[in-house]
Amino acid sequence: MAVTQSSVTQTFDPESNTSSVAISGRFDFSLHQQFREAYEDERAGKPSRYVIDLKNTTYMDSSALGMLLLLRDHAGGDNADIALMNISPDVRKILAISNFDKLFKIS
Amino acid sequence: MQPANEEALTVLIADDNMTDRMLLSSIVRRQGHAVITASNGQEAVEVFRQQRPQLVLLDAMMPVMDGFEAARAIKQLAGEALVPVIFLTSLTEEQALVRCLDAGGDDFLAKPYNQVILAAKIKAMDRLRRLQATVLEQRDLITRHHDYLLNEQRVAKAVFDQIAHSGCLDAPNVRYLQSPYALFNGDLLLAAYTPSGDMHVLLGDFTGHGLPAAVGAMPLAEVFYGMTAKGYGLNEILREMNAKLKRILPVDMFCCATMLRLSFQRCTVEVWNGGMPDGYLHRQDGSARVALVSRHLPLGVLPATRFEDQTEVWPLAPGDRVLLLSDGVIETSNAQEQSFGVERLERVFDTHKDPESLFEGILQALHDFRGESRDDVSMVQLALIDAERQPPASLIYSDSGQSSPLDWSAMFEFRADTLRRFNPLPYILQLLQEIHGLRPQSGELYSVFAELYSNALEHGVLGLDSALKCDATGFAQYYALRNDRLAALEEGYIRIHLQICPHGVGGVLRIVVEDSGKGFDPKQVLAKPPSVHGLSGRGVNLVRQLSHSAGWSEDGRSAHVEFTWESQA
Amino acid sequence: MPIEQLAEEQPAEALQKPHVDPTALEALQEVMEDEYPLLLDTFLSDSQLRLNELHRSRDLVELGHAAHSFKGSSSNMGALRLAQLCSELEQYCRQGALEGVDAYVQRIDREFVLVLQLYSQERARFAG
Repeated sequence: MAVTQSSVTQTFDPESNTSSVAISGRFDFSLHQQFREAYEDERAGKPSRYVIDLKNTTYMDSSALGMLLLLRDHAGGDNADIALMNISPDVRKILAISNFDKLFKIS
Repeated sequence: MQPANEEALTVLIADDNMTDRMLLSSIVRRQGHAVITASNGQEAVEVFRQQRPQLVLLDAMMPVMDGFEAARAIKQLAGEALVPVIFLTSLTEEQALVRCLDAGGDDFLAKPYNQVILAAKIKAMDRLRRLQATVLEQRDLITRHHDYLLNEQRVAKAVFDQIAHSGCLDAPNVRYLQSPYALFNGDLLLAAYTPSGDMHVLLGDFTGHGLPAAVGAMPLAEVFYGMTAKGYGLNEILREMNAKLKRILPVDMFCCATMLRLSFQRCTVEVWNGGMPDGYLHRQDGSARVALVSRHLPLGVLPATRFEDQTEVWPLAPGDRVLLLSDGVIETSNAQEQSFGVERLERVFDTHKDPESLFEGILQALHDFRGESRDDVSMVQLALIDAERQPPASLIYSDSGQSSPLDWSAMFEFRADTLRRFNPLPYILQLLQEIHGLRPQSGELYSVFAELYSNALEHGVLGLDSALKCDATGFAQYYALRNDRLAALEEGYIRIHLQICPHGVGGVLRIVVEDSGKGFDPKQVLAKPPSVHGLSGRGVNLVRQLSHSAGWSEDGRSAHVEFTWESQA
Repeated sequence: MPIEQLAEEQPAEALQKPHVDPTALEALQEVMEDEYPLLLDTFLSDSQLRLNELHRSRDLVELGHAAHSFKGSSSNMGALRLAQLCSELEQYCRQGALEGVDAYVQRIDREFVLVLQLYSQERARFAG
């Protein structure tokens, strides 16, 4: 079985001022640096909303939850507009137990 | 030609042939290195031992001791460090060359000497030598750091153990499993008695591992123990723990936790679960188990203004068990990388209907699944044992109590706005602690106060009917209604009158608790047979048991209770 | 090969090698710089010792070692034919052929006479 490296990719849509960050592979502490660089990247513009695409995310642990909290803090705390999209059942479960739907829009 | 920017080495040249020795020395010196020489194997080993050159050029055939033996001896003297040995040889047979390498030689140089090749080989060997030196240095550095960290952890654990063992995890109604290094997995298990004999339990899981996870546990434990001992309720304690963690932990760290209050006297369990896996309530009578689901965000995430402290209350009968587990249980994986999972856990529940055997059943199932025991699983099981209440340890005081306030009175009136969000009991108890003569009765005092206050609030001010708590559904309804009505409270009050007077050789404390509610008929209630294990009741009998005397006004809107004491010698 | 012939002829391979390789001497001079004359002196006196060793050897093992050693310094110094002869002698010793060994030693003796002359001439180019 080939071992694939998890990765983070980011795109910015200037029309909607939205930064989209996609995570593929395992969303855990090893992505700490990359995830942060992705949402801090404002070269194309300053986002007013963030979309995190978890379609190819195979696994998420508590350090990933921590990283989401860092993003939320960066994006304005209570005023942040962050949506988590394309959630698989496993990821949904961890978000449900931690009640993170009270902090992020989940779809 | 002088090589630029290269470290000048000390090179040992061992050859019994003077011509070769002279020639090679010149070549090596020209390359910028210092040269020491030997004319046979034994001399070579001796020179090496004394001067420790970085590189050795050895003639294979020498008298007294040949190159191969000398090479072995030199390698042994070098130990962990790499001292490259280059054999000088005009041997051409493969076998002979293999012999060089077998003897520990790293390379060989043929005669006649080729300067360019020699320079290249010296350079290459030196690179390897320096690489080995770096590896050893880093290995030693890592070992030192590792030992340092281990020591830090030992200290942290020792400090924490002091804190953690001030609790009551060894009470007869508690069964638990926790690894000795749970602290460094972020797992926390705390238990303590309240002044009224109820038990608070917390099972927590900090994000992260190692010392960062452990560091948050200590302030949390201090809050837990301190506030529980003072008589605070779950809500206040959770709010304080959340605020503390929010303040001290970095943004990406938090603590999932389930906290509960087990009341032996009321036969209830009050639960708050933020981010932990489901806890379970198993009933002795075999009725459906109740899942204690996570309804809140973990501690340390939300600011104080947005923290939600709503709890759920469930009735308990003797023999019922409450089970809490860390996610290590569900996530235990076997050699095939499957996880234990909720289904397997539920199967254990189904095959172990007797709560007595449930704990062991789970441990066994985990062991069978995993093939070995895991060290990051935390579990606790609590029972409502119909045993005598353990009185909390009385506080020891150092002075004789001469300076206690022994003749005073006070009246407090808590109105709607305050009743909504404030629990006055810890403060009042704190005040009464000043009377040393009363301290041995702290437990009873607190229980009586708690009972009178809750009656005054729930039945008096909020107008709830305890008859609603006749079955499990009604129970849930009662508490939901309680929360709703309290949140919407606009009018009402509870007055607490305190009077302390000297009496004989001691004193008497007279308490009156009065509420703005509709009241009840005390004669009716007192006439009913005592139902010790019922789900309803005003705890009237309890109050009478614990105090010196107790009574109610005719309209039932105020209760008066007396405590007396004799002064300590 | 009959013993008599051995004494007279030099082996074919050795005949292909020059007595002295001038390029080698040039390289040696470049490396040794001021010490070049000293190297030549050392070689010449060292070689005498090697020859004595060859004559003094009591068995094939000793003789083989001596030949090996002489081979080394000769080749380093560019006395290629001498080196080749020593190499062949070494092989003979390893093979255990007692006969023919003496002839080789004689050949080496004679080659060295030449080598001695040539290197002395070279040495004479430098005063002191």
